[in-house]
Amino acid sequence: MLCFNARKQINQEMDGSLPARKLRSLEEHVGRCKACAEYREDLETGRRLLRASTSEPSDSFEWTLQLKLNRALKEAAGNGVPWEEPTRGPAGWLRSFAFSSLCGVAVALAFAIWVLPQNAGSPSGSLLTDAASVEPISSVTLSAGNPDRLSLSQPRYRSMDFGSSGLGQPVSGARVAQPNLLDRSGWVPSTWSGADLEDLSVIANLRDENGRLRFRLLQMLAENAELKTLLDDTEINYLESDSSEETR
Amino acid sequence: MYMSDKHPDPGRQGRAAYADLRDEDLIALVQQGQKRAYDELVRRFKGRLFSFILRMVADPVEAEELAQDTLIRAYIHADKYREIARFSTWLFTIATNLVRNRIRKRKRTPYMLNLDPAPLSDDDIPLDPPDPHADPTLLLEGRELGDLMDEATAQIPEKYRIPFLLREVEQLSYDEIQQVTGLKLGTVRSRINRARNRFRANIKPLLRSETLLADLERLEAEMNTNGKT
Repeated sequence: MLCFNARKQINQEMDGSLPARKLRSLEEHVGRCKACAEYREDLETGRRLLRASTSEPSDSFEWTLQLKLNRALKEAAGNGVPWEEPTRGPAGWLRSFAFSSLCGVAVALAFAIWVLPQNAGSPSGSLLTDAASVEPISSVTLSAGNPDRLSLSQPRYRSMDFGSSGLGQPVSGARVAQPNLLDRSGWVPSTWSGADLEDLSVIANLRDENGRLRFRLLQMLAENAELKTLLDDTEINYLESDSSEETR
Repeated sequence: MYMSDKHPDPGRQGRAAYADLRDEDLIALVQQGQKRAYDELVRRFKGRLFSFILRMVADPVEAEELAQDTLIRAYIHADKYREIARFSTWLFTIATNLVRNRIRKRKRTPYMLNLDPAPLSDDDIPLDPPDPHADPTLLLEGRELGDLMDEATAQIPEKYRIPFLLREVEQLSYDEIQQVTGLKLGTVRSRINRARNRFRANIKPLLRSETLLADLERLEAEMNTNGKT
């Protein structure tokens, strides 16, 4: 047997894969060849040395491991395995696309709900249609659904002019209705709840009350004007007579 | 009762009962959420993993870090283990992948120059440094056997070293090494043979040392004692 083949078989023998029928011829060769005998001994000693000389990690190994494990579990619960960079396969891209599409639809819906109703015609209701008419002077007003919001496209109402044009008459142009602040059918932000909605209701009630008082004031002013006219016709100076009676 | 006969529940019998279980039984218990079974696996494998990785990366701190990463990964992915392979094969596959990644990463980083100052005087430089090959006892003086072996294995090229260590130290079969490394059986066989020859050449000066052989016998005796207890 050649030494080359013998050494091949020594390796097989070390791995326990040498057939028994070849073992005898190998033993015969090793018995004759000093170099191959030394080779076998060296490999076996080398293996023993490797197995005997294992190193031990530091004493802090286990608690450091525990700390790292806790952190890794926490991160794995949220972001996947911490030491692996997230890979995005076809399914990942599909999910991203679906998510983007949903976001787009949500934005479009929000636009439709928020913006379109505010632009959809003038506010409804007619609290002061007969008592006083007003004129739009700019494009800012309260929206019907949400009285606290201002819309740039709606008419704004200015204060009444009780001058020569007469009561109950428009200052100029067409009559414009005051928004119906009691109309609660409008959309309010979904984040509003409880106290916010109550406050909104209080504000709407106060505005309504304010409108009624203004209406009442206009009525009283009109009555006052009528009485003043009657007084002028009778030519009696009540103030003078009162003062004369007092002096007496 | 959920626990099968195949994987009995030693948690009820105390920690010592885990020591009698196979690695595969322990990982099955880990899959069922038993942390103590994992602790036992850590106890069994931490030294083996550390030694294997240390001989690959030649840096104790890095080796410890990678051994911990291997064990953490085994815990987090425990549910992916199936008993079609030995647990040790699965675990060393994880370790081998981590080690390969680390070595690859290290190769990509630029080479660092040594900025240590030069010796201050000529007295600091030995005039006639000893040749360790001349007398093996000089090489052994004040050195741990583990360090010498780590050095000897570090000189084997990485591609030979992995299958060599898995075979010689971890005693994995050729089929298992094939699974771990993803190499063909013939390649595994030839790499192990080449690595054995290189290792032999590296430790040749030490092999005739009486001190070393005495140390080896002492260590083996200690290992047998610890194994029996």
